[in-house]
Amino acid sequence: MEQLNPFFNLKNFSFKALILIMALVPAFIIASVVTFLLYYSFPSIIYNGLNFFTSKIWNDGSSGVILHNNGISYQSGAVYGIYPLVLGTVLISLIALLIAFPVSFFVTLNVELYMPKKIRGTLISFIELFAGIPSVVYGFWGLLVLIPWLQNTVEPWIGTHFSGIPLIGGVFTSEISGRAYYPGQGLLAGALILSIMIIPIITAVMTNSFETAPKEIKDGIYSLGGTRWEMGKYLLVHHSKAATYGGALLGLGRALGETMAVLMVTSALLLVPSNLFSNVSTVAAYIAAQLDSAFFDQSGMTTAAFAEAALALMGVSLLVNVIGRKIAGRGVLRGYQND
Amino acid sequence: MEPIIKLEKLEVSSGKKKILDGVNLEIHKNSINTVLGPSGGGKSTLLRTINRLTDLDPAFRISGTISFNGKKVTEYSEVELRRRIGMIFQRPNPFPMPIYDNVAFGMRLQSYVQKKDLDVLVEQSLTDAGLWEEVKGELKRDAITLSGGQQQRMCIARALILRPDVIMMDEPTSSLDPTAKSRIEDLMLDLKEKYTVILVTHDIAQAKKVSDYTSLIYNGKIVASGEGGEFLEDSASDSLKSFLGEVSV
Repeated sequence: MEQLNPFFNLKNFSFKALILIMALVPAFIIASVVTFLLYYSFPSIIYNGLNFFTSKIWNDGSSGVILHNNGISYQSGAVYGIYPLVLGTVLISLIALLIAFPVSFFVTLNVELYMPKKIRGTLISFIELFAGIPSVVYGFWGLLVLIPWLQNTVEPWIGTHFSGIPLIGGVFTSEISGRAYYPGQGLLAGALILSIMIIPIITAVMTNSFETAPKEIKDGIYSLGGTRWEMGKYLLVHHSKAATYGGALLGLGRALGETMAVLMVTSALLLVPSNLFSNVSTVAAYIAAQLDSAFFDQSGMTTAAFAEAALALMGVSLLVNVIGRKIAGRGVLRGYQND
Repeated sequence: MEPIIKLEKLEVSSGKKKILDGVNLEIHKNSINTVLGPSGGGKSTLLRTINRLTDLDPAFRISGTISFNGKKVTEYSEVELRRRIGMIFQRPNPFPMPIYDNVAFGMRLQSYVQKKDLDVLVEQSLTDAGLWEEVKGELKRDAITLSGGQQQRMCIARALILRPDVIMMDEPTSSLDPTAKSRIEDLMLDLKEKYTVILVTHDIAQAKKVSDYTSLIYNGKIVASGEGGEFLEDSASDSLKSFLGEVSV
């Protein structure tokens, strides 16, 4: 029997080992980030307990008066609660999703079912380009263009026309001392900026899924007298249902973690939003805005609290992304084999 | 008798390729009108031009006239035309939903229909398609789980629920086993009592079995037409004889 060259065996082994190490790098990075966050947030987890997620107050305590208890150090009177931030994050993300989802659907419908092929490619490239724009650019545009427009035109119009609706009118009512107050910067601005940023993600998943709809199905619907609009509805509700949910979740994952653009068009205040125009902040934006001040806390507890907030944000974002990818990637061509 | 569909000097091309070249054809009411020819001869395009599915692809260029019930097909809305000229495809194409919803799909597109009326229409259509007895107890079953032959009959029921004037069948048995194929052929013979059938096939035995009128299409041209299917061997040119010989073996 022919013997294999020992050098070849060694090369083969080295190559396999290298591939294995490279494959493990992403897992290692995620594991190290989680470990780092767990380590740094541990004092906060012990100190704050569940209050961390239910308290509306974030107070670093009296500067310089450091107390020690069971091996944990904190400034006197320190309370850390991220309830307003969690609420702000969830509301901004959900409103962004509510705006982005129908827009993405109509863009997909247009691109896939109405638009001539020549223009279609250009439009898809254009939408993909949207995803590559740095978020600070969106934030800058939001600050200079979007906020004045919201403040002077959109918010007063919404307030005037919708605040009188029974039961839900309060959502559109913003007043200070009995006078209408439209800050521009706040929940609506954050949601709009985020929606622009997640439209390319949702649209990409939807167009991919619409494209994979079997020709037999499309022929079947058209031959029964279905219109393009009915075809779009069918694809959304049946064929692309999983991909649509998945795309929405991927968009939500992006929205949850987005920092810079949101920070620039919202306040960095810990306020529980009371209406659509409220000043509001998100977990990510608040961390970015306030982390430098945390270093003045000699006990390290404020840094630990931010680490815990980051850990929570990372956990939720990862979960939403993993579920989104799983659903978006789920086979939906039931009963059909592509030829 | 006046033909229900009449094609005159129909030419269809896609890009530089001419798919149909001066086709003249008459479709007779309550008969099985077969268009027989080899693959790539333009048979499917012929059907897709009649119900204007080719309009969905701007690459197709069409000239000549197609009239349906004495009116040009372009004078109908695409929706109305396709509802009155149903189409069955080469491969069964059930939608991934229950049998009931599949059959009711076209009716629900058209308008709101009360559940009890829809129940009657679904039963009638499945009965006409020869499937009711097999599936009546399991209408909520996913249509994808039916056998190939059952799926194709369900697709026929789905077209029948709209009560079309014409049913076009594009090689409807080519993906089926001999038993399922035979059932569909028998069904075609039943269907012609109520409907006009246009059958596209490359299967000479099938054409001989079911056809009332047969036209032979080759390279986009109708090269022979006649009643029944028996005349084919006599009228075929040399090149067609080789095609017919191949298929007959």
